[in-house]
Amino acid sequence: MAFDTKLMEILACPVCKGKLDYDKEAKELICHFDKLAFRIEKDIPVLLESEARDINASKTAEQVS
Amino acid sequence: MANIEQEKNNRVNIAKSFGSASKSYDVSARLQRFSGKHLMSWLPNRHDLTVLDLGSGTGFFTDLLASTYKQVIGLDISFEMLKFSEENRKESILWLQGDAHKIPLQNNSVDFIYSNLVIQWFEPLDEAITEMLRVLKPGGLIIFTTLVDGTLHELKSSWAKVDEDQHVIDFKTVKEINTLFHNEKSMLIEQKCQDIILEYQNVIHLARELKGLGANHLAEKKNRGLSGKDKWFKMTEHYQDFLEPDGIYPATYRLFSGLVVKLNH
Repeated sequence: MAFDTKLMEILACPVCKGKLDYDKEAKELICHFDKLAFRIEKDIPVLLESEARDINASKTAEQVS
Repeated sequence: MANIEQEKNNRVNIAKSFGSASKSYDVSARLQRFSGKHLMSWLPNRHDLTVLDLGSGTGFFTDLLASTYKQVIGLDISFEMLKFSEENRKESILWLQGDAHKIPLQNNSVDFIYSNLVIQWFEPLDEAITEMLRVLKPGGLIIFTTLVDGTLHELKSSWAKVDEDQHVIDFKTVKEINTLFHNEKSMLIEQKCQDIILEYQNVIHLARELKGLGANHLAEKKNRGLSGKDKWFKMTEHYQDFLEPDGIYPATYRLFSGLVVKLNH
């Protein structure tokens, strides 16, 4: 299904089980606690720690460049 | 630590094994269809429920669940399976890629978990059970089937006459399953165990179907490929001891069905 914001009430970070935030533009689900971004690919949230993007690391990279 | 790394690697291999089976799965999965239907009598009558199909595979039963229940979530570790499901099943279903040992859902958020022939792959199973009970609401149910010890005993004993390698995974015993689901947080309130005998034209047919189920993965298998053909031939000779009068090769699947309730306290 097209990603539905109602689902934010039930989805959780696989690592800390805390709530996720939806970044509509980036099509990502964000865990602020673990600083992880989980992508949504073809309307399927990829909620695997091994596939998540480290938010801190990418920011640092942007600052360097 | 080495063990944790090893388990992680095994899980990825299993995911790959299932991923490559996503297209042939629906035709070859006679057992999944049988066992999944078998569970239908335990499904709750209310409709306003949130349901998790844990290890949703091709989404065949997720689709059936979605015709009855308000909010249905299909969780699988294989993206290929999920993509197939997303394209072929009801639009109302939410598909999630995740690991049963780290379920990406909030505490007390699900009314019941449906899991058909999946938990035999969960290692360690107790961790996955802790996760299932975490996401269930108090009073919530786990309705599941799994394969238990005795499954593929013909294949196991035929191989045992050839070499000492492990060719068939270790399935949990009924006693172990009972111990795992009876704890301070949950109770196994109903259970059934039955042998399903599937018939094959030959051992190659059996092997092909096991492959079709993605079940050919073996965590502990060693000496892969070494003089494989010779050993395989010897094994098929021993398998003939089980041959039925009409020349059919039987394979036993010991199917365990269980209904678990999460206790209120």
